[in-house]
Amino acid sequence: MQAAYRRNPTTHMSEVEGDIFLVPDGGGEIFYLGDVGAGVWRLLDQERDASALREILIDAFPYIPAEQIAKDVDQLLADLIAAELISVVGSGDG
Amino acid sequence: MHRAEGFPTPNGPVTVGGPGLSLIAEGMPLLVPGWTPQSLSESAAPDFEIFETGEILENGSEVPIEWDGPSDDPLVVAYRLATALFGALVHRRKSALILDAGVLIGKAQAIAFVGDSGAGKSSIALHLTADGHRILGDDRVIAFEADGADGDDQSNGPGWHAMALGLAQKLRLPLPVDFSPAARDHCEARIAQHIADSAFLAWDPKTQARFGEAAPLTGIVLLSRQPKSALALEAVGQSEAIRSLIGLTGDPGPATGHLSTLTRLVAAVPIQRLRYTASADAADALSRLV
Repeated sequence: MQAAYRRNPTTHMSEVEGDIFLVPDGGGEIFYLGDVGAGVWRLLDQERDASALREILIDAFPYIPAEQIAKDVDQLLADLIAAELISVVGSGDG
Repeated sequence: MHRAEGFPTPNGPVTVGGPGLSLIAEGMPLLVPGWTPQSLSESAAPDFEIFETGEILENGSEVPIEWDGPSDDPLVVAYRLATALFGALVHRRKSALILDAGVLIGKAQAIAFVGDSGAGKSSIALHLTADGHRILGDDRVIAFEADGADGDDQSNGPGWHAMALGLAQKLRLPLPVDFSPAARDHCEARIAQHIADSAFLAWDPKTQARFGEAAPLTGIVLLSRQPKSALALEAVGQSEAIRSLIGLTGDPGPATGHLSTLTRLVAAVPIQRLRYTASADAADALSRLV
C-alpha cells in the first residue's frame, strides 16, 4: 500500500498566470510552483499516491522526459510535506 | 520621568522613549536626516523603549529588535530604531510593504527602481539627484495601498503609493568608474561623514523627500545590471514579478499577508525590467518614464 497525499486544507494559495504560490498555515516562506509543481498541486485536491501523480503528469507533459518528471514529483512531494503544505493521508487511489 | 520623542507618521505619531533615548541623538540625524522628531513628555508607555544597553523593545513585546548584543554605537542603535519604526509603519496599514527600492518622483507619479544590494539603486539615484530630479529614497521606501480607510488616504487618492522614509543617501567608496562627472561632483560636494567604506551624504531638501511624503506609484522597474548590455526596458509578467519581489520586499506580518499584498501590488502596478550597464544610462531611461 502506497502513501497518499492531499493538500493541507489550511494552506494559503494564490494563483497568478497559471503559477501557484503557497504559504503554510502559521507563516513560513512563500513557496512557488511552476508548470509541473502547479500540476501536482491541482491534482492533490483529492487523495493521490506518487505513482498516480507520475502517470498523469507524464501524459500531460509529453515533451518532458518521464524520468525527469518522476524525479521532480518525488522531490516536490518531499518538499511540500517538509513545508507542511500537503499531508500524508494514508492509502491512495493507486 | 524620561523624555520621549514622537515620530510623526500619516497614521499618528510613533513614540520612542526610555533611559537610552540619548543613544539615538547622534546616529538618527546621520542615518535618517529626513525625519523631524517632536520632543514630548513621556506621559504613557512609548511605542518603543530604548535601554542604556542599546536594546530596543516594542511595547508589549519581550523580543529585542535587531539584537546582536549590547552597543552604544550611535549608528547601530539608530539602525535598530529605524528598523523598528519602519516595521511599525507597515504594520499600521492594511496593505503595505517595505520595498528595497529607490523611487523617482515625477508630476503626480513615482517610479520605483528595485534591486538587491549591488543592483545599482544608490548609483542611479545619485545620477538622478545630480540632474536635479527629486527622489523619495535611494534604498528603501514603503509601498502602500490606499483604500480610504487609513488616515492620509484622502489626500493621496486611491491606489498604490510610495512613501519616503527619510534615509540619508549613502554610497560605497571609491565611486565606480562609470559615474558621470556631474554625479561625482554632486556626491563629493555633499559627503557628510565617512564610515568604513561608505559615505553618508548631507540632506538636500530640493532633491530628497522628507519622511512621510508620498506619491502615486505608477511603475516598478526591476534592475538588471550586466557587464555589457544594450539598454532595454521589457515588460515582466505578474508571476515573474512576484518571484522577483519576494526577496526585495519586507512585511513584518505573516507570510500570507506578504503574498496577498504582493499579488495585489503586481496586479495594479506595471512591472518592467531594465537591463543596463552604466548607471547614468539607467537614470536617463528612468527619467523618461515620469
